[in-house]
Amino acid sequence: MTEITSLTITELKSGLAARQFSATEVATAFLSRIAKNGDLNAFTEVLGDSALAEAANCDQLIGKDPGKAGALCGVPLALKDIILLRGVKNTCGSKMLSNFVAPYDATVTAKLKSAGAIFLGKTNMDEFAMGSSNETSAFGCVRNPWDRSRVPGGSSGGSAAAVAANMAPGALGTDTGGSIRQPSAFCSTVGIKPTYGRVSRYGVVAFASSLDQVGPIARSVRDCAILTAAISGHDPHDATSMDLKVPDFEGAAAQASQSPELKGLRIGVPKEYFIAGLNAEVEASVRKGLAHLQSLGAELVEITLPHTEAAVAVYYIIAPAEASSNLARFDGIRYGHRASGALKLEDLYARSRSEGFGWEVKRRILIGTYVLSSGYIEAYYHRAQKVRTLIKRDFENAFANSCDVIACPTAPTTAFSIGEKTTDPLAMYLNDVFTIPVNLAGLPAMSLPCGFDKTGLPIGMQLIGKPWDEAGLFKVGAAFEATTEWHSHKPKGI
Amino acid sequence: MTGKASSTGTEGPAQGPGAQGPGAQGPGAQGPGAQGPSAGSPGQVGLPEVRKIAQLSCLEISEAEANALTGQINSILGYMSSLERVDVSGVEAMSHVHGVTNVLRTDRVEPSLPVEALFSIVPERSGRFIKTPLVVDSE
Repeated sequence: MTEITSLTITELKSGLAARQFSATEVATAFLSRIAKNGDLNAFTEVLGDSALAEAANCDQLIGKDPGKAGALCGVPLALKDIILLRGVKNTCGSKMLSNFVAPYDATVTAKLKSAGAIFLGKTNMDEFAMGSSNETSAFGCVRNPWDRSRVPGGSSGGSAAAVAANMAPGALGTDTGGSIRQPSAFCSTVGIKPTYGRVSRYGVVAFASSLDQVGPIARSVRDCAILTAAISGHDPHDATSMDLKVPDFEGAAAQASQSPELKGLRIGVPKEYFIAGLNAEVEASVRKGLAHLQSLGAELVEITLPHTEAAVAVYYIIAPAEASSNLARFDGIRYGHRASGALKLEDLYARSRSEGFGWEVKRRILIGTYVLSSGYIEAYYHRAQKVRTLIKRDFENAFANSCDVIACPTAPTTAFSIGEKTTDPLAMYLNDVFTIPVNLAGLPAMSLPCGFDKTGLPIGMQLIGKPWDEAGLFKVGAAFEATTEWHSHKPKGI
Repeated sequence: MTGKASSTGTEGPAQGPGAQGPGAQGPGAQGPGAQGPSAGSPGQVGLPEVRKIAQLSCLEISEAEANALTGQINSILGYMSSLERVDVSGVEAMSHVHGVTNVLRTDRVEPSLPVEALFSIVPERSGRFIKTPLVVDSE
């Protein structure tokens, strides 16, 4: 029999239902895999005891009345350490929150709990989700399971590494400028950022509220569809979560896997995404992937997204601006790190923040404060919001006139070496060039495995959809996955 | 701590008039005459502006850190100045991707989070109060 930890969520669900194995056996298998791969530093906390207790409950439920067990009963998952799980530390990869215990569940956590999911632990991440490599975590960098001298991507690098190394069959991440998709590309997992407003942000520590969105990372498109469906929907606690019916995502993926046929589908290929700076092997793999989609019946259409080049500059104005405001709440008073010995209130604020935040966070707070300050807000922030309108219009024009889905690379390179870009923040920011426009426009987008470079590092292809058309992405992704074998490769020595 | 602030960056060119920034106001200050960290042109900041921004951000930074940050921030702001080349005439600034409106709930008492659960994460407390240093000078 295939080893339990290499099974997909779909396979685990059917195996549990058919009593091929128990939830306790499943949880035990993943916990031992986590222990074996401790050097990857993918987890900030492993919840061994509670996971086994929850698994025992699931076994009882399944034994008593399988019909009443939730859709994810006995399926173990990992949560990025920015998503609150009641009673468990939520560090956000920061010294600021190193002792913060979540007093309530995030809505996505509550939804997964009510579906019967088991939580294996919290995953490591860039501090407050600010980073593209996991190197800004106060708890050390996560290592890429495909090459331990390289970064896993970020900021949801712990989640992607955990899934790639069979330490969890699925995990939740968050994506503000590519933080689910870029680590998915670097670790050969499937990851989707849903449409802004599809998933509640309640109980998810805010970085840039107009861009943040929670989404899953898993080992198959269908698994991502299952998890996306489980966490989607309107939440009265988040006024930006939209009151829309959640389509049958799993059905869309399952049907496309069975009959992988894309006749009549127009796939837009944006010329601005195949530019100087794009690694030649990444380009070759993505182009091969595009040709494969064509062989399934899709029509490839060259499109233009003329304001793409401006996206990184727009993002690194808007995201820090929102972060400088959101992170003002960390003042050492009500929760989080408090500096000792401060005699005055203002000193307490400044010292607590200076001791609690790492350098990338401080840098972004400073930039955000600057671009919002009187005298500069027009030149930076307001101008960026105007260009953001133009970026969104580029996508609207493409979808209205030329295509149903857009396909392109997820990241310009494969995983880079640990330490390679830490001294040059701008070089690090440019790594997000293909993922950022999607967040600025609020669109859904997925990264899925489409190849490897000569040294064996994974390459991801990004599919971008119309607003609320996650089902369209699952369909194209599942058809691609069913007729390729890139997703079946595994890192060695895990 | 992975910051490399002390290893990179050079001090950016100092600003002209206004670089000393007295009377500068915080983010959100409105109206004519309100000034940011300095009255210099966008794209470059000097050491005094970086110190001023740090003060507005409630962050303490050392001299060496301020020096390094000045270089890094100038490199980032220099990249952002590429937006000056984009024609935005007649374009509305985006306020929200889906154009949502404010949501009001009915004004009625609803259960809140348990007070004790919230107090359990307070760094210093005294009974049902949060302890802070002196807020107002006693003199």
